[in-house]
Amino acid sequence: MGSLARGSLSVAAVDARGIVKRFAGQVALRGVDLRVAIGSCHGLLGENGAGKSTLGRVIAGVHKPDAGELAVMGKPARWTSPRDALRAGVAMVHQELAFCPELSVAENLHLGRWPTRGGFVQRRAMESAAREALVPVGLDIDPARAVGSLSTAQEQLLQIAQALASGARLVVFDEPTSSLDDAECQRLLALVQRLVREGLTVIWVSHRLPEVLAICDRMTVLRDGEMAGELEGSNATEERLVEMLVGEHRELRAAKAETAPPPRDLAAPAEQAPAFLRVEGLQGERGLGPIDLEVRAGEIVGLEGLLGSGRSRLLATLFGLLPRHAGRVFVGDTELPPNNVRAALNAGVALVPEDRKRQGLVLGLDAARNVALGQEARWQRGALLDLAAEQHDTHAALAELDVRGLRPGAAVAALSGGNQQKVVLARWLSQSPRVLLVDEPTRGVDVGAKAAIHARLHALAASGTAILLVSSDRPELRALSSRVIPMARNVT
Amino acid sequence: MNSAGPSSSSSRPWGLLLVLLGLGTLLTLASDPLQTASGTQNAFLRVDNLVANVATPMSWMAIMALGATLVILTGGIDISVGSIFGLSALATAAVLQRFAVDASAWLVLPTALAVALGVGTACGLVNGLLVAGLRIHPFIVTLGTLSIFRGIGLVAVRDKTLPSLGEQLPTAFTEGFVGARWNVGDTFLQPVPMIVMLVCTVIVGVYLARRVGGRQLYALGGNEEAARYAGLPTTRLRVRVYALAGLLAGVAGLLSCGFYQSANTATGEGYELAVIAAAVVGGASLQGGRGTALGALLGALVIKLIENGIDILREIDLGLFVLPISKEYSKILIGLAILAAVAVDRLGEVWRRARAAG
Ligand SMILES: Nc1ncnc2c1ncn2[C@@H]1O[C@H](COP(=O)(O)OP(=O)(O)OP(=O)(O)O)[C@@H](O)[C@H]1O
Ligand SMILES: [Mg+2]
Repeated sequence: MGSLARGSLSVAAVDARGIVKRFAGQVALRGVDLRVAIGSCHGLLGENGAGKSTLGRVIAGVHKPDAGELAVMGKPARWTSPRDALRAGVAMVHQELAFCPELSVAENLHLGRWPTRGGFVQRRAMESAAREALVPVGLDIDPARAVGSLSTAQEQLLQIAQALASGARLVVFDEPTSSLDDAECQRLLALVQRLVREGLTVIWVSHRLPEVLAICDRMTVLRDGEMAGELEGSNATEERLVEMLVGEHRELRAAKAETAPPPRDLAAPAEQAPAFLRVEGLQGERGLGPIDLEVRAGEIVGLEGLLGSGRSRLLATLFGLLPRHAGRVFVGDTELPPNNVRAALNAGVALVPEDRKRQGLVLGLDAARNVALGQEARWQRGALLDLAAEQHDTHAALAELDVRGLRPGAAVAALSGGNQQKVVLARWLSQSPRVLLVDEPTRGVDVGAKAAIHARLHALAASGTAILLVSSDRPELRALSSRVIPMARNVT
Repeated sequence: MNSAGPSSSSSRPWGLLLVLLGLGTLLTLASDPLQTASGTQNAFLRVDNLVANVATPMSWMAIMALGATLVILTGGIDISVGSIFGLSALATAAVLQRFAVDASAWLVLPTALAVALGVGTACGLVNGLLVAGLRIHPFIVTLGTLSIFRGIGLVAVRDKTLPSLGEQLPTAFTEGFVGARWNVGDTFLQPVPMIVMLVCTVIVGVYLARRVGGRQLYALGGNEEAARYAGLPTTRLRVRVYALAGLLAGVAGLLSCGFYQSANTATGEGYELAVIAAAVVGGASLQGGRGTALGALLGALVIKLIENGIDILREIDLGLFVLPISKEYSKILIGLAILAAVAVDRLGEVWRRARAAG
């Protein structure tokens, strides 16, 4: 794409040399070099915890590097805040979305620089400016709407609009597609390609290799905070990327990840098994239902649908988190009462929520305590908790999912996004639930870990668990499910 | 100072201990020598002062700070503790003055416990049910009950002080229990309030560290939605912390009533500020999710030392200038000292964070 003598330009959009970034007790980047040509789309890949987000944040002024030189658009960049970076034309679309949900689209877009006259905010002016800012990203929404009411994809587009409106010439995207469905993904990719053609420089962080191959001119692979290699877009293939991602010593794991066939033979006995999770005429919040479905023991049933089609709401209603207005839910022979999480848990139901930051984790507690959350009673000996046993079991659960960057006592907030996701999974998988409701289980997880999680889900099903799966990642849904149920506008 | 440990919660006491050490040194150096029967002693650093003026009156404050810590841990706040403290002290006095002065301890003590703890817990339960049931912000709820609980005392006790004129509380409760004396050399100690304080600290400490319900409070305060998703009984936990805060205020009221052998309709007025300050100085985060029992105890000690310092010092010679300390300044000084203590303690945290975040 747009190959206008890009390589011959002497000035690079980003020229980073020997960037080192240390966090208390941990080195995230150990001397990384990165050169990004102006007007190119540069892929940044690596396993969970490799340092991608950290490198992106250094470029966008969120972190100050401990050592190394950073130049942006040919000028040395010694920024102390994202504001400095923004002024120099660098913006970042964060992995975790960052808006004030109560404020309107327009207010969020112009946060920190609201137009005023005589001390009063010029709402009209602000909203018409916002409407203009939304045009380049093709977002057709009322600027007076509260951001909290937007979908994830819309919020993402809003972040891009904000970056463009502030005059950014370089935008770092940190896993922008991880929470989008297929169609939205395609739309975002097309938008980014168009913006790149129009001269924007993009750094694209992602675990989705096909999309990286599709839009990136060049890609850099990080491993354990170091540069593991670079590839020109024209001679990159998925195999070569995987090889660079996991390194030679872990080639085996990668090979298994790529080729392990889903144990289809398990689907056969499941066919005769009785329905283990049974839902009859369920109705819930915001027009959900009526829904009927059955999941047999040992079966993985995928729910397919667009964002907003009610899949997550269905899972939360089954688990008792959202009110159930009508219908019955059976687990085995027991009927679950509505709106009662404890009853669901006691019946052996588990829910892996879609939003790890809001619903999955207590960010201030350490990983082990997050795994133990809600099942502390398991380690009660007499009147007190056996903390040593708890430590032992939770660490085993964390090790099983290969969570990297753990430090005892350190808040889970310090883990990389993918590793946080593994912590959420570790809690629920370690309970060997009888019914597992999983919502976007591998959001933000790297290729190798994804395969490991898939294997765990298959093993769990093989041991007789009924699994109801929601995933916007269509290949994942297809690969995991023995049966797919389409869901549209609140009904199956 | 907080950079010593890997996590803020485990390293926090060190910052506080440093504050305490500094405060103790300052007070020792600044206070005048005092002539007593057993020779010259430091006005601050002597058993008489530290026990009678610091440790004993700090007992009720520390016990309430434990309750405040539980509430603050969940992201809540209870500003009605002073009123609960006063009401349970009044109720205890009202019931006990009906007993004969020499009534048997077997009769008096269980009654006293039941009344004080019952009133405290009932008040706390009201707070908890209003906060959890009506989903009103705890500041508003306890602002209301602060006034109501105080008002109940005012209406019920017309002559403002109990026991009423001519009445006396049973000695089995006062001198025989809360105010019991241990003779040490030529002076005496009244250790019961301190012992109760330490026992309460240990119980709350074990509850927070080693009991399911206690540990879950950290999750509730850290991220309520995640706690709900993990299946925690969030409503029950929330009601429980307010009830426990009430219970502990009841314990404190019991001690104060027995120690002073009386209660007043103004007992505990304004205590909520000192109590919340103690909890916060002790490391409880008003955002929720952080706080320890030991912190509450040390926080109360810091506050009490500052008050004591103002009591015994008339001026501090800072070399460059002489800082006058008179009673009129005490409010300002306490406020400044609280801010300074928190600042010193937090500085380490900020520094550690800055290093972590670059
Ligand atoms: N604020 C922080 N405090 C301490 N450690 C941190 C912090 N941020 C990141 N780290 C550590 O730095 C390393 C790199 O993290 P980073 O978030 O850059 O990984 P990543 O490549 O983006 O991973 P992912 O694909 O999971 O998002 C990890 O080991 C992580 O634990
Ligand atoms: Mg990341």
